[in-house]
Amino acid sequence: MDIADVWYWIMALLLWLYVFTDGFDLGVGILCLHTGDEAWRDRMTASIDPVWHANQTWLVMLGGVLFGAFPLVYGTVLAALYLPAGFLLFAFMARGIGLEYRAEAEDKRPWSLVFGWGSLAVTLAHGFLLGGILQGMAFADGRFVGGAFDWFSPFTILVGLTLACLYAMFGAAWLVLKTDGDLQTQARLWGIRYGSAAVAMLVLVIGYILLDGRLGFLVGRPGQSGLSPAFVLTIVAAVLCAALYFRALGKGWERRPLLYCAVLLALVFAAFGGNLYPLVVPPGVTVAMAAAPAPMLRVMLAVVGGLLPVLVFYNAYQYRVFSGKAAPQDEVH
Amino acid sequence: MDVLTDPVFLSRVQFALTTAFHITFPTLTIGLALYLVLVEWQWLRTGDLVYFRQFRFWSGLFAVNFAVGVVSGIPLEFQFGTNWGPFSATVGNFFGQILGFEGTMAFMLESAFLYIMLFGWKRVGPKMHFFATGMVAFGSSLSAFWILVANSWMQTPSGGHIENGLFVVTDYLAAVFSPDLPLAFSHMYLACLELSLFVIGAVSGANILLGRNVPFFLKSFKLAALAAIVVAPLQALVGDANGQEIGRLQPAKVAAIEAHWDTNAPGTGAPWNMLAWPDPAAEDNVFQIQIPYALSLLITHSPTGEVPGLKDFPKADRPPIVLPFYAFRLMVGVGFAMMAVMAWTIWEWRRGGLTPERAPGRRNLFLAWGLMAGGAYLAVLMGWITREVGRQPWLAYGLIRTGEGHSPVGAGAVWLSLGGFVAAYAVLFTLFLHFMAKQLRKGPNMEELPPPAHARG
Repeated sequence: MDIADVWYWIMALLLWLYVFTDGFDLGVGILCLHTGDEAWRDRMTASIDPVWHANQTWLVMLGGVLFGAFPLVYGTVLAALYLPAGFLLFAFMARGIGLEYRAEAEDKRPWSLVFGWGSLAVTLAHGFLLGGILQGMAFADGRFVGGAFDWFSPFTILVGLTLACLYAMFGAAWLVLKTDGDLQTQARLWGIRYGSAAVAMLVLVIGYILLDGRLGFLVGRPGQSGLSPAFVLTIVAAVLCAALYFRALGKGWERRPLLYCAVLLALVFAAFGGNLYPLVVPPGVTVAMAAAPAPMLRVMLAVVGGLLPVLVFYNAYQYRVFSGKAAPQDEVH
Repeated sequence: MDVLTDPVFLSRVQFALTTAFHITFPTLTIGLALYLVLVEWQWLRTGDLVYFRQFRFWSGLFAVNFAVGVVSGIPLEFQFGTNWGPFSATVGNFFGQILGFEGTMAFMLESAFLYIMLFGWKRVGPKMHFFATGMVAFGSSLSAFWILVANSWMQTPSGGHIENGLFVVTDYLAAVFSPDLPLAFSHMYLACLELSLFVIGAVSGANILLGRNVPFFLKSFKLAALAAIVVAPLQALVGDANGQEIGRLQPAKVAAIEAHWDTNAPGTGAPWNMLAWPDPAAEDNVFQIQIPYALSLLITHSPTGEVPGLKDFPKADRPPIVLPFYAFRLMVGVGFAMMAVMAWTIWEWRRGGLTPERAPGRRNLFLAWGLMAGGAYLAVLMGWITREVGRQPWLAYGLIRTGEGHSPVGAGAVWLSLGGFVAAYAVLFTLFLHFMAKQLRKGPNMEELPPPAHARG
C-alpha cells in the first residue's frame, strides 16, 4: 500500500472518530428539541458537557490533517463548498454558544433552543458538505470551475436528513448510557424511532443512487451498473448491526446500543469509502493526484500516527473520569 | 469603489476581522493558564486556602474566554481552504501539516483536559488535577508555538521552493524554524504574558478600589505586578531585537512602518519619522517630524547604518504605509506606558502603598493599570496589523502574491460570509461581555472549601 493510501484510511478513521463522537453530541442537541422540560435538558446537556469540546476537536484535527495530507482537496473542495462550509461555521458557533451559555444563564430556555437548532444546523451542513463531495464537482486543471450553488441537490438534502436521523439515533444511545429513570425510558423510545428512520433513510439514499445513474460509482464497481458484492455484504452487515442495536435497546442494555452505533457507522463508512477509493473527490480527483509528496506524508505519519494512540488514550481517560450517570455539575461539592 | 467588489480585498478584510477578534481570547487564556498553574502549585505546596480560591475565581474567567476563543477560532483554519484555496493547495503539504500538528499536539490536549481542570475536582485526586491544569497550560502554549511556526513561515518562507505550482520542501527543519520564528514567537509569547498580567492586575485593582476582598485581590495584584516587572522591560528588549531582525528579513516592511522613502547615503544617518503622513503617489511624505540618525540607530544600532528606503523596491512590491506606520507607533507607545506604570508600581510598593489598609486609596495607580489592560489588547492588535499589513503584497513573502492565492469565489459570496461574521461576532462579543461582567460581579467565593480529597491540614 502506498503512503497516500495509508493517509486515505487515516482520514477515514479520523472522520469516523469525529462523526461518531460529535454525532452523539449533535444528536443530544436534536433530541433536546423533542422535550420542553428544562430539567431533562439539564441532564441531557450535562451528559455531553465534559466531552463535546474534545469531540469537536477531532474535526479541527481532521481539517488540519486533510490540509496537510491532501492540500489539493482542502484548497479546492472548501472553496467549491463555500456557502455550506460557511453555514457550518456559523452553526458551530450557535451550538457551542448555546451549550456554553446555557450553563451560565438563569433563563435556560432560549439557550436550549440555540443549542438544539444549532445542532440540527450543524448536522444539515455536514450533510451538504459530505453529499456535495460525494456527488462530485466540476474541476478543470486542479481548480473548481462550477457555481456557488452546485452543491444544492436532492441528494445532498437526502444525505443531510440521513445524518440527522443517524445522529439522533447515536444521541439516544448515548442518553441510554448516561441517564436513568424516565429520561432513559424516553431515550430508548427515541432510539427505536430514530434508529428505524436512519435505516429507512439509508435504504432511500442507496435507492436514489441506483436511480440516478451518475452516482453509480458510490455503490457499484466502476463502469458497471448495479451493486458491487462487497458493498452489498457490508450493507447487510450494517443492517444486522442495526438489528442488534434494536435488540439491545429492547433488552434494556445500557452500553451496547452505543457500541452498535459505532460499528454501524464504521460499516457504512467502509461500504461507501471502499467504493469511492481511489477517488477522493469524484469524478476525477484520485488519492495519488491529491496527496502531498511522499516524504511529507512520511513525516506526518510519524508525528500524527505516533500521537493518535496517545490522543485516544487521554480522551478515553477523560470519558472514564466523567463516567456514570450524568447530573448537572456542581463543581466542587 | 472597486475594493467593495474585489473578492480578494473582501477576503483579506474577513480574515483580518476574524483573526483580530479571535486572537484577543487565546492571548489571555495562554497567560491565565500559567497563572492557574502557579496558584494551584502554591495551593498544593502550602495548603493555604487563598490559593485554592484564587484558582477557582480566575478559572471562571478563563472558562468564559476559552469558550469564545474556541468558537471564534475554528473559522480561521477553514478560511485557508474556503478563501485562500490555491495558496492552500500550493503550500498545504507543509503549511497544512503544521496546522494539523497544532490540532493534534496542542488543541486536543487543551480540550480534553479542560473539563477535568474546571469540573473534575471531585473526580480526580490533587495530583491528577494539577496535571490536568498543567496540560491545559502546556497545550495552549504549544498551540501558540505551532501557529507562530505557520505564520513565521508566511513571513520568511524557507526550507524549500515552488516547483510546478507546488511547494517542495528540501530542508524540513529550516522550514519549521524559519528565520522569523525565534523572535516572533518570543515577542508574541511575552505579549500573551504581559496582557494576561495587566488584565489580572487591572481586575484585582478594580476590586481593591471598590474595597471588595482586598487581601485576596492584593495577592493576585502583587503576583501579577512581580511578574510584569520582569516581563515588561523584557518585551521592550525583544521587540527591539525583533525590529532589527525584520530590518534584515523584510526591509520593505521596515521602510513602510517608518514611512522611509530614500535610502540614506553612506556616511549619513537615516532619520526617524516620529510622525508623518505618507503620499504613495508622490513617493514622499506630506509632512514629517524627524529625529536625525534615529532610524539607523534603531534598525542597525549604528548612527550611520544603511536603511533601505521604499524607493529601492518596485512599486508592485511595496506594502501599504499608513496602517503599519500608525499601528506600530501605537503598539510601541503602549509598551513604554506599561514600563512607566511598572516603575510607578514599584515606587508605590516600596513606600508601603500596597498594604491592605492603604491600597484602596491608590486610585490613580489602579486606574493606570486598568488603562494598560485595555492598552495591552490594543498593542496586540496593532502589532499584528503591523506584521500582517507589512507582509503585503505577499501571502508568503516573496513566494506567492496575495492575489494569486485567492479562491475562485465571487464578491457576493464573500460579502455574505463577511456580513455573517460581523453579525455573529457582534452577538458573541455582547454575550462575552455579559457573562464576564456576571463573573466579575460575583467575585471570589471566600467561603468555598475544596472537596475532602483535596483538603489540607
